[in-house]
Amino acid sequence: MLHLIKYRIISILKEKTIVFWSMLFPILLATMFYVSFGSSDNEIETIDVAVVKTDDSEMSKNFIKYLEMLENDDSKLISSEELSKEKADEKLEKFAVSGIYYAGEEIELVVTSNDINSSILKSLLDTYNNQAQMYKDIAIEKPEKLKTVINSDYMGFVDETTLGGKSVDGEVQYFLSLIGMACMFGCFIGHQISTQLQANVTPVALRRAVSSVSKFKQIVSDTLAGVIIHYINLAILLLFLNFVLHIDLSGNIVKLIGICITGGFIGVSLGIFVGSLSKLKDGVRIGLLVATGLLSSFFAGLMIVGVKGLIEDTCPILNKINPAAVITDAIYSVSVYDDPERYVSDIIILIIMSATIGIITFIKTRRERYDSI
Amino acid sequence: MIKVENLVKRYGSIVALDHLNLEIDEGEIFGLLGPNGSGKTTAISCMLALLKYDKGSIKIFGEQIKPDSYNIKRRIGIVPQNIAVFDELSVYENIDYFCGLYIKNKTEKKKLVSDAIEFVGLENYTKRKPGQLSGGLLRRLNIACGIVHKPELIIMDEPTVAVDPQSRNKILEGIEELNRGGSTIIYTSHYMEEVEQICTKVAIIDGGRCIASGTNEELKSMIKTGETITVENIFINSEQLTGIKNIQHVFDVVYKDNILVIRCSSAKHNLVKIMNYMQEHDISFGRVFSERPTLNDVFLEITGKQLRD
Repeated sequence: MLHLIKYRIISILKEKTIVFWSMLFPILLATMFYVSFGSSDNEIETIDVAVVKTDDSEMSKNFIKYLEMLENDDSKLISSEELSKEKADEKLEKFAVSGIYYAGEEIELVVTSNDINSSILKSLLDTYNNQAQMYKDIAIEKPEKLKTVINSDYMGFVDETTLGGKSVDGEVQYFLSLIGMACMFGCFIGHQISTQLQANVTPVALRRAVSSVSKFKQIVSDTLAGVIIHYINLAILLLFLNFVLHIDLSGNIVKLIGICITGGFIGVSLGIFVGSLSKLKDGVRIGLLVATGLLSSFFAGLMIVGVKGLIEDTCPILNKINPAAVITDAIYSVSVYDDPERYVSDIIILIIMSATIGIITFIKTRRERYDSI
Repeated sequence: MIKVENLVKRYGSIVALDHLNLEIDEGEIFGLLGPNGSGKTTAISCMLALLKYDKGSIKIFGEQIKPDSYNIKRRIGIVPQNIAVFDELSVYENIDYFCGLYIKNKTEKKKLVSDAIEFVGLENYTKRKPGQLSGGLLRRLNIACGIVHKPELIIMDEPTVAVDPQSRNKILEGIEELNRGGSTIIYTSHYMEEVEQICTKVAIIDGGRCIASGTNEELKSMIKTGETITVENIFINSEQLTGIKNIQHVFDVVYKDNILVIRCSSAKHNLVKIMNYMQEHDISFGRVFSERPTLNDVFLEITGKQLRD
């Protein structure tokens, strides 16, 4: 097996086209992003939110004050508007606001989608609740320190870090999306691998098909070779982003590596699967591959931010079966949401998807005899 | 060793193999001779369980071959018609890779690779990529990759296509050497000279059917032609042409571009009789030569067309 993997790695690495698309292209794209962002004003998009006051309690007043502080801050993270319940609901339905805060003894948040804006609003509420609880605790346990704590600029951190201490810098999100897209580019490696697995496509595949190495072993060794190469590609991309472009990946390199491995796995296995549709012409297979990659990336919001949220509202299952959407979600769960459960579930989904695609490919090709060669 | 019975393969409405029957014994160099498109490669692909076929059975080493017959495949080496090597790997790496598909032991593998390189004479090119090799050397690499694991059965599909004479001779000598080493060889070609030179048994295929099979001598004895006499730069009229046709044992005469080709059945003194006739009728002529029947004559007589049509 090691013998097969070693030579497949060598042969794939020497394919210039593959190296370009799977490694150099994402790096070039990242550089272009970096250059174009360098001339932008780097402003974060302000989130519109409605506030419905349900009573006149202290808690309610303090929370509204907290929102005003955020609103007046330089970061312009949110823009709140106090409305009646009916008006607020109407605006939320029309997506004029990203959420509604119900301010009373208990502060509640209502959102309709599962996008980054909703997550930020939830995080702001969590931060407020945590701080409020902290004051209560200090007042009970060390009342003499309360004044000092209140006078400190505790709100400052909210402007810089919102979600579990993670950056919400819009530019970083583009780079994170780029990592997701690069994962999907593994399909080009997968396609190249598939050409060496089908006797009716290349003479090398023919020679391999008549050898005594089982199809299962061939698929597994080739897939592993592809995943290893793509993992190296993605690791180089991460290093490039971190150390050359100085993109802050929020210290989650280890978890991002986990995403890179599984994301690379899904990209490679998808490429092998599409490439193994032997009844289609080579041009059609490549077209299908490019279309699959681009469409899944588009639906995952890798090109236009917000598409994924819209799909979450209208057809959430699509986000669960779209590999690019799951990769993006996993990246966001690490770099934005700081949601370990979501991260693990996304990784599991990716592994199941890859394994399923691999098994289908194996079943399809294991005893394949061709109509013509 | 190989038994193909009533093999039928259709490509849509085209019948590529039409109830093909073959029997290949151990130790033979078995030639599959036929023009391009006669079904040689299709037959080979069916034998290797690569192609679906409509009817018939193929047994190799006594067992029906299937895509997952790995125990049978382990004993077979294939030299495909198209060069089947990795362009990105060097000569050594390619041979080592394909050897590794069969041989696990590193020491044994190393020796086999070295033997194969020496066998095909690529010692001075081990670090070169396939793209840096000439057509002949590339064919030799293709062969090395197929025979490196010393298989019992070697299937060679037109291994000398587009090869210079020097490499062709080296390849043909190599095939005979492999056979002497104990390998049974199936050799497909449309070059009848090669098949005639090295094959111990030949099957002639046309239109997907085996139209004749046997040793060279057996095949030649099947046909009427015993001798073909060619006379160059000859100028004769129709009366003289009829006269030649009437010479005993002459059964076919073709006169074209001042070249006269006379086919005679097996008999003594055919050439003398024709020379006498030309002298008696004061016919001027250039070079004259006589040939024993070839496999091309066999093919021509059975099918009515030239092997390379």
